[in-house]
Amino acid sequence: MLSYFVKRILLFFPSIFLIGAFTFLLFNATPTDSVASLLRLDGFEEKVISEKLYKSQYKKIASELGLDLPKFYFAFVPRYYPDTLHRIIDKQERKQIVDLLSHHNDWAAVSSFIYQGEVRLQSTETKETKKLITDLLWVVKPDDLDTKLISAMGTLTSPEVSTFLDQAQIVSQQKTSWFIFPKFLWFGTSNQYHAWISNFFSGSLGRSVQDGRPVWGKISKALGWTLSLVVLGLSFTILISVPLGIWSARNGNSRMVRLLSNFFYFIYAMPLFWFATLMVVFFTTAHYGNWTNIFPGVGINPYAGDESTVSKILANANQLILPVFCIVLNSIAYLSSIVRNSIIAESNQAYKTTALLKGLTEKATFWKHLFPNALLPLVTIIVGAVPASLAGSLIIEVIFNIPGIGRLMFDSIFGNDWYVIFSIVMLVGVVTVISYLIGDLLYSYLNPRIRFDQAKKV
Amino acid sequence: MIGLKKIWAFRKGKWALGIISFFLVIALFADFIANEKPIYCKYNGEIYFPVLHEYGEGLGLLGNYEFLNNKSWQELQLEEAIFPIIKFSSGNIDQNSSAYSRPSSSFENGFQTKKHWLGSDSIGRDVAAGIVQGTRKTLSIAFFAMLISCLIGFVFGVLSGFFGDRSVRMNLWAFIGLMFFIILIWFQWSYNHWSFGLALIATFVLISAVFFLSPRLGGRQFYLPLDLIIMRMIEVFKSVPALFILLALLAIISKPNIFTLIVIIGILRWSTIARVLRAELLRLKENKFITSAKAIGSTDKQIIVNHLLPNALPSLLTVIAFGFAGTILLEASISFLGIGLSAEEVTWGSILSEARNNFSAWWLAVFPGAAIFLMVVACNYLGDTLNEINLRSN
Repeated sequence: MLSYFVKRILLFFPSIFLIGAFTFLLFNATPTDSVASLLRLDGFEEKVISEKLYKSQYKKIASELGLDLPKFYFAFVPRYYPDTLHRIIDKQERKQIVDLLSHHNDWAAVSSFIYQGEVRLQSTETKETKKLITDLLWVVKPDDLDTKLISAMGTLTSPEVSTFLDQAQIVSQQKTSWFIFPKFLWFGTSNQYHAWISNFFSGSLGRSVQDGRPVWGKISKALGWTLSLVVLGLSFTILISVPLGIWSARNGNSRMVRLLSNFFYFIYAMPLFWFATLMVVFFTTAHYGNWTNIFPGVGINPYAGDESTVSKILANANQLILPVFCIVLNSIAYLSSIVRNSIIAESNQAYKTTALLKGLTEKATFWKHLFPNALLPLVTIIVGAVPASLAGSLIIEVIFNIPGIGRLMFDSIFGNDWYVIFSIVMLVGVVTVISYLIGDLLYSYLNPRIRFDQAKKV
Repeated sequence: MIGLKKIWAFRKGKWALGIISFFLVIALFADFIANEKPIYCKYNGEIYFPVLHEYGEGLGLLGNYEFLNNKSWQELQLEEAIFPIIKFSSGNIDQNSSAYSRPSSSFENGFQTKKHWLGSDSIGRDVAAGIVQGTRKTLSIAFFAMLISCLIGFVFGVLSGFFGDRSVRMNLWAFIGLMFFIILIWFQWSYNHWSFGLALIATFVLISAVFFLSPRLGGRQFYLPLDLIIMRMIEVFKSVPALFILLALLAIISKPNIFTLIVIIGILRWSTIARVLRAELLRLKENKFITSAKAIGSTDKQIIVNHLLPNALPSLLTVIAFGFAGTILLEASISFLGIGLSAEEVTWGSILSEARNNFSAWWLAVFPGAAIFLMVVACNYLGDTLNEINLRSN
């Protein structure tokens, strides 16, 4: 038992590592520039303030976000690469240098070309020369460098420029090889991935691009709403479907049972978002008769601001009735049929006959022997239902305008708020992994007949 | 092999086949069911088949009708005409149509009386036409996404279920060398001027050379734990919150088309198929007929293709049927959230989401939702039936 527990818990860490890597990978593929959006929030508009101030502010924010760190613990780069290429934050600038390097595989030449160019740009006065030098420095295709150089040489004749032009001459010549040997770079723990994971678990997830508030603050506020939806939904489902399952197992053939189970099966087969939409459309307004506005409309009541989330949720209890009702009604059929099948399966076991032969009453046999055993599979199913109910909660929150994490994710997608989006994805992934872990541990603890290794081989 | 007749013998199977073939017909003949052009018409003494002509235009074989002159067919005085049942094209806004028209309300447009059988939406687009065209999109997304997950699931299922942990054997140093050189090759692809094809061919040549040479090298042999690796992969994919990941991915792509949607959904959903195929293969491998096949010298390929797959097919079909339902639901929920395809692409989910804007337009909530519901239930019924047939035959 213990070895299985240890093994199962050890499996938890690679899963977290992989989910972290996956979200981090996606995070790095995001199309918009979060630093620029954060700068805009702080009042640093590009083109309004001087370019120098903007650049220095950009650098400051980017290094706060750790964007000047290497991506991962290690990297394989071509032999001729510099060790600190990651310090260049601007993507355009980095791509330019990488392009030049793959045209002329020599860092010493490329770096002195760029250095000389920058020095010239600082010291030359005429706009024309500046423009020509920038054109050469930031050439779009390194293959065009030599033709550009020839045309520039006619105009740039002053002796100061000649060192730069000499360097440009060197770089413009192609220097590549058919096979590149990599070199291995080790960065240690000061890398973006490590920071991403450790920041996630320490709760410092950065700032939201939409309003500048800390991401963790936004998520923790939203989490209260989602948790109350999930917990209320699950507990009402259990409270209703366990008695229903017992009742239908005992009166298996009555017409009422069949009618009710068919009704719940019908609701269960309806997609949650359709069922919820139908409820909202038909039962929150008086369009369809005098009595059809039995539920309050969607959304939550406006509140004064700094109330605690708990008091906000309590103040909006009546707004939560319909969403919870939708969640519960949609999942009753599934859970109650599991309870029913499990009770029927247990009542065919030999121990029931033994208990009856011992002289126990039918009732005592049921509650003392059958019932606890029948509820065993329920434990894992309920724990395993947590991830699915988070996804269900997302749709419910969007339909009913409840500010939970699903709604937050939905709004953040439209606002390109990547820090919020990927923190939520990571959070949901971690919750999913943890709930499967708890489910497996509970199952093997409660039902020692089943061992992990045996289950694996089936 | 499960024939349609066997499925038809069950009550649920009848429903499933009926509903699925109904939607299949709609998807195939969508252009003839909902179109603002007539199927057949006579104009100025000449006979035209505008809907068929549309296919020719689409293929670039035929030019536009010149006499139309940017006018719509409704504005022409046709001598004879047969119009489709639904006289609207999905996504097109009819100028005379009003927003939120009730079901079976009709209006005059040019020389035609047009009827919104299932009502219209906030900008006057016909709901019935949207559902008909949406059928095609939904079914093709579900079909091709399942095809991709089947392909991936098939490869991984066979690798872990048939080959497992103890059949792929090689020299330890050969393996380490292989890994080293594969990394080197792909390094050339990403940093040097090697093309993708060259890197792929080089990798393939390297792998086959090592597999050919490795048993002859002797030395320390070790088993490649394929099953272990793939099971860990399946576990990770199982704990991925599909809806959240899908939303994040679509947000990054920002303008997903049907193709990217298919690929993403297909990649997210392979793990169930791989798991079931693996379990089936593990079960079937113990049978005597596999031992006999091995005894008469059948190759691995023959055993897999001739003996294992036909026997694993019934369980696979069950999973595929349930997976089909899941894919349709996933696609509908993201279109419902408005994050899937672009707003001009009308799907079942996108029509349903419009119901949230106007609660008095009940037809926007009922009809597209019913289409999703029917299709999902039909797939689930098909899965149930296949499962039942499976259980009885074992």
